[in-house]
Amino acid sequence: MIQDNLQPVERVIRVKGLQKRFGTNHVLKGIDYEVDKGEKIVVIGPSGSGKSTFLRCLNLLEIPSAGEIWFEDKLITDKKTNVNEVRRHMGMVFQQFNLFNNMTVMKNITLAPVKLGIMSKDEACETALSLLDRVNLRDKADSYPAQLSGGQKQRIAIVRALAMSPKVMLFDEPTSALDPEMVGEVLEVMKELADSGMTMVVVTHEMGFAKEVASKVLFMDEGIIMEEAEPETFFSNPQNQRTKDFLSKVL
Amino acid sequence: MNFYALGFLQSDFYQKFRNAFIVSDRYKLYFEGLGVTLKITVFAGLLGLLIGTAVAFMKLSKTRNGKPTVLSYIAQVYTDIIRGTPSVLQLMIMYFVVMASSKNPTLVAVLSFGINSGAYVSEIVRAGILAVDKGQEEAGRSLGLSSRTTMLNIIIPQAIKNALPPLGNEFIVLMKETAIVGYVGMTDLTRIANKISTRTYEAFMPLIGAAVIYFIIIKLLTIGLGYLERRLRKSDSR
Amino acid sequence: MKKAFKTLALILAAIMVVMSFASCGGTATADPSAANDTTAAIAETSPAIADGILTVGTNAAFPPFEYAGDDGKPDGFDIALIKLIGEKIGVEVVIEDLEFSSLVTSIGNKIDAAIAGMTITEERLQTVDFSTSYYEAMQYVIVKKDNSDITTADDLKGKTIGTQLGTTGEFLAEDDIENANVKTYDKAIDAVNDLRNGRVDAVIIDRNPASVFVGQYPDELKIAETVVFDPEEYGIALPKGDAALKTAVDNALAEIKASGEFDALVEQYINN
Repeated sequence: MIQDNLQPVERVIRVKGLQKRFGTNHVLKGIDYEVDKGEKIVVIGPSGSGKSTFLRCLNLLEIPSAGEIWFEDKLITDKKTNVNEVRRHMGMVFQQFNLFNNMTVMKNITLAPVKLGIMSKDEACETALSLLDRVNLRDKADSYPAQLSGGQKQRIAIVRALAMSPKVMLFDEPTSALDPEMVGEVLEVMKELADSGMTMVVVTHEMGFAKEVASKVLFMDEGIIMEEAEPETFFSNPQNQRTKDFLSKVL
Repeated sequence: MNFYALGFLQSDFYQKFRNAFIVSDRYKLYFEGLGVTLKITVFAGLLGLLIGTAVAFMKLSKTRNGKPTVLSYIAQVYTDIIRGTPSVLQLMIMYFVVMASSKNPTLVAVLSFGINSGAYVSEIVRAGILAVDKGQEEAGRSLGLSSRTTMLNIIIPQAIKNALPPLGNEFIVLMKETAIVGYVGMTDLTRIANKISTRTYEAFMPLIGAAVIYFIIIKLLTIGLGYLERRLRKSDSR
Repeated sequence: MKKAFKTLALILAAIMVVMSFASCGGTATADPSAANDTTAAIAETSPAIADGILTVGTNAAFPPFEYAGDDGKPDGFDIALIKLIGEKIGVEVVIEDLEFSSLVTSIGNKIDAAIAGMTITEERLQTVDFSTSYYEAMQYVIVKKDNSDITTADDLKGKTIGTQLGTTGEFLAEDDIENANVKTYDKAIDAVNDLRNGRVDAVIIDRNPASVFVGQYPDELKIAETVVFDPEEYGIALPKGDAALKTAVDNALAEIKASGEFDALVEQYINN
C-alpha cells in the first residue's frame, strides 16, 4: 500500500456519460467512472440493472449508444480505433465459460497469442503450461472442454485470458453458472490473481468475494451507479436506500 | 456340374440375368453409366458446396445497424427460385435454353445440379453457423482475434460438424437426382438401365441391377460419412 | 465390416427374390361380366380384352402417327386407326401415353397393346406378337442444311448421332454404324433441337416424323436423301401368345384397308 502511494496513479479505464439502448430499452443511462491501475472493482446489483452491459461495453462487445470510453490514452469509442488491438489488452471471462469446443485446452490458450503473432507456438505452449500449473490443471492440457467440469472450464477460461498478458481483466458473473461446490476453486484463482496486482472489474453476486478482494464496490441499478464505496463502508454503512434494500436481500 | 446348377442355368431368371448383364458385355455399360453419374455428382457436389457456402455468408451478412444487406436479399431470391422449381425443369432450361450452344453436356449438368444443390447447401451451412453458440464468437473477439480469424478457426470448424450430417444427406440426394440427366440425352446409370431394357424388352433385371448399384455406392458413402462424423465428434466425448 | 457386407448381400438377395415374384403375378384380373355380345366371341379366348376394354399404349411425340392433340390427348394416324379397329372388334379403346422405351415391356401388365409407329423386329418378336404390318416406313437421316459431308451411311461412322430411346433409329445407330456416339432422347424433338444446337451431327428417325421436323425448320435442317436404309414395317404390338386378339386385330385391319377407310386416314393425317 505504501509503495502504491509513491507511484503516480495510472488511469486504465475512463468512462464518460456512457449510455446504451437496445431498441426502446434504455439499459445504461449515463455512467461515469474511472478505474486505476491495480484496482479491483466489484460491480453488484439486481438483475437487469445494466451491470453486465456496462462490463461488455468496456471491451466493446456492446457498442455504446452514447458517451466515451478511454482505455489508457485511447478513445476506444472512436470509430477509427482498432478494436481488436484494444481487446487484446483486456481479458474477459464469461458466465458460460465460452471455451472453444472444437479445440483442446492447450489450443484454447495458445490460439490467440499465436494467431496475433505475440508469441511463437513454443513460447505460447510454455506460457500455457506454466499458467495451467498455477491453476493446477496441467494434466488437462490435451483434454477437450466437453471433458471438463464447470469449475475446471472457468479456470481454463481465466488462463486463456491471462495468456494474452492483459492489462485489465473483466469478469462477467464468472461463478453464476457453476455448481455450488465449484464456486470456491474459481474464486480462489481470482483472489490469487488480485493478489498479484492485476487490475480487475468483476460483476458478481459473491458478496464474500467483494468484501475480501474489492478495492471499490459499485452498486448499479436502473442503468446508473447508485452507490460507490470501499467494501467496509459499503457493507457496514450503505447510504442509498436501494443499496440497503438490495443488501438486506442478499446478505 | 450337378443337376441343380444345370437347372439354374436353364432357368428364365438366369436367362434374363444373362441378357441384362452378360450378353455383349453389357455389364461394362453399367459401369460407364455409373462413371457419368459419379462424375456429375462429385463435381456438382463440389460446386454446390462452394456456391452454398458463399450464399450462406451472403444470407448472414448484416449492415452496421444489423439490417439484412442487398446481398442477403439476392441470396434469398436465388434460394427461393431454385427450391420453388423442379430440378428436372432447371436442367432442361439450362440445357435447351440457357446453355443451348454448349457442346459439353457434362458441364451443363454439373452447372445445373451445382446451382441446384447450392441452394440447399446454403441453408444447411447457414443453419450450421447459427447453431454455434454466440459465446464462441464473443470469446474469440474478446481475445482480440479479428472476425475473420474467429470465423475460420472457431465458428466454421464447429459449423462443419453441425452441417456434416445434412450435407452428406444432400450429397446422397444429389446423386439420386442426377438420374434425370437422361432427359437431356446423357447416358448415366439410370439411362443405361433404361436403354438395356429397351433392347432386352425386360425391365426387371436392368432396373433392379441399377438400383442395387446405386444402393451399394450410397451405402458405402453412408459408412464413410459416419466414420468422418465420429472423428469430428471426438471433441464431444466425455 | 465383413458381417455388414454379408447382411447387405442378404438384404439385396431378398429384395430381388420378392420383386421377381411380384413381377410374375398380378395380371389377368379381368371381369367377364362386363363383356357385351359383340365381344363375347373374342372375350372367351382373349384375356386382354375380356373386360371389353382394349388399353393401348402409345408415345404421343411421333408426328404424324401420334402427337398431343389440341386437347392434350394423344391424336394422330395411329390413334385414329386403333380406335377404328376397336370399333370393328367391338371394344372400348383407352389410350395411355407412355415413354416409347417402356411400351414393349408394359404389354401384358399396364397395357393390352401398343401402337406407336413401332417397327416389327426380331428382337421385339421375342417378347410380343405383332399384327400384320399396316405401314411401310424407313429410317431417315436429318442433318443441318449446310451439311455436305454426310451423303452415305458410311459417312455416319464415328459421328455423334441423336435418336429417340428405344426406337429402331437408336438400334440402327448402335448396331450398324461403327464407332457412332449415340445420344438417346425421350422425345425425338429433343434430338432435333440438339441437332440445331450443333450438339449432334445427325438425327436418325422414321421418315414421316423426319419430314414433319424438317418442315418445322426448313431453313436450318434437311433430310440427307442419299442416305438410305432398309425399309421397315410398322405393326401393332400385342401380348405374346394371345392368338384370339391377333386374329381379331388382323381381321379388323384387313376390313379397314378393304373398305377404303385406311386410305382416308392416310390422306387425313399423313399426306395432309
